[in-house]
Amino acid sequence: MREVDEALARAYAQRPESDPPRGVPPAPHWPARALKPAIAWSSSPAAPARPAEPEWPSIVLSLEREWGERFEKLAGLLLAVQKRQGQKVFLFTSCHRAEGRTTLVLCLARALAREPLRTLVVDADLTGPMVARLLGLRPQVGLDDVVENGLALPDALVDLVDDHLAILPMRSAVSQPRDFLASPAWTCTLARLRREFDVILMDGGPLFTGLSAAILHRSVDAAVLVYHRGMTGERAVLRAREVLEGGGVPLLGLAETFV
Amino acid sequence: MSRADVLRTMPATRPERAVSRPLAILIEVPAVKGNRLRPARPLAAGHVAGRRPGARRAKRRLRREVRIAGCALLVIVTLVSAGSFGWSSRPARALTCSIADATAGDWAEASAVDPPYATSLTEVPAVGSSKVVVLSIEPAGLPARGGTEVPVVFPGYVLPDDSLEGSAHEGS
Repeated sequence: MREVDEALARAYAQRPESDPPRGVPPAPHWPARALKPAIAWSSSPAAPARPAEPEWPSIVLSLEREWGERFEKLAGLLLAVQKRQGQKVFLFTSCHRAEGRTTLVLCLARALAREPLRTLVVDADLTGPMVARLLGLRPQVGLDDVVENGLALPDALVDLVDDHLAILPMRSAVSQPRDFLASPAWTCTLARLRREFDVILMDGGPLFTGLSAAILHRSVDAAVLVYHRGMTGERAVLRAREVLEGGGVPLLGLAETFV
Repeated sequence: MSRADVLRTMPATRPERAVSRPLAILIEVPAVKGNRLRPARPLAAGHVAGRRPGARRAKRRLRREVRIAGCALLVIVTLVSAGSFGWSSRPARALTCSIADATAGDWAEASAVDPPYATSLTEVPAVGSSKVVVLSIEPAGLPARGGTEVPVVFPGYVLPDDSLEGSAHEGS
């Protein structure tokens, strides 16, 4: 699957620039649809799109203010992996919910946004998307609309005020995660994201409360397991590692939260 | 989705390196006061806004305890019912066998005394090879039927006249 993504990324890169930008068709036989603006910032359709101003959660700002160097260190580590091994899609997953996964992803995204790279945060928690709601975004088009309904990918991308950072939120949960991730539209979308962004942070769902993350690991390059010592035991961590590495995703390491 | 895709998520063999190589801790995120994500925009209708943060945790804990108690109760009821059924059926079977043995022995003894019983006893086992329990209100081991009857006297009761009393007490 990763080879297909890379081949599609190369094909997109070889496309001449004179072509007008069009939405990624979700499937070869689906026609492109009329697009709606991602965020209703203005009632005038002719107004130029301006970056969104998310309301960052106070805990993210607090963590960044007090322990920002830790996130910068982790960002540097991911960048080193990206440069050394060419891996750019990182999955952040956990064994259960409420282990601090989204908090870590948002803090890390803010740290990566200071680098001269294009960073993307993908809300890949297919059964319980939270990123848009936590940031106060009201997307008209989400990742689920891009993959399932064939809407354009640029309309779902939310460029934030912090340059070099974009969010790809989900508007609602996906009813069938397996079909969602097995669809050609998902492959095309991920290939285009690989081409357009340098680092992609995927806020994946928990491993043991659904099947989404277990299939999602076929689309990522490496994974970071977020765990809270009070909620997840050693056996669960070992089992999560087996699941990830059995799917061919190298586990970079653990991110311990609520220390 | 094919079966191979499904099975790919579950590794068949446990990778050895997972056990051998320890996992590195990339970052330790400390717990900050009020370390909980709260949505920037309010929840949809149906959710109670402004609920205490500990209320959800307490509710979740209560739900978990109720679930555990229900499961424990189910297990206990199952074990108790299985045990009671097993122990109640065993003595019944043993009593049946003992009755059958005892009755057969009584029949054998009675056959030497009472010809009608003996005839019936010889016919009963011929029906099948298994032992047959015959229930009767007649005592099985009594030697003779026409013996002297022992009168049963209840204290305080006047027995009916059986023409054996003395003439001196007649009419009293």
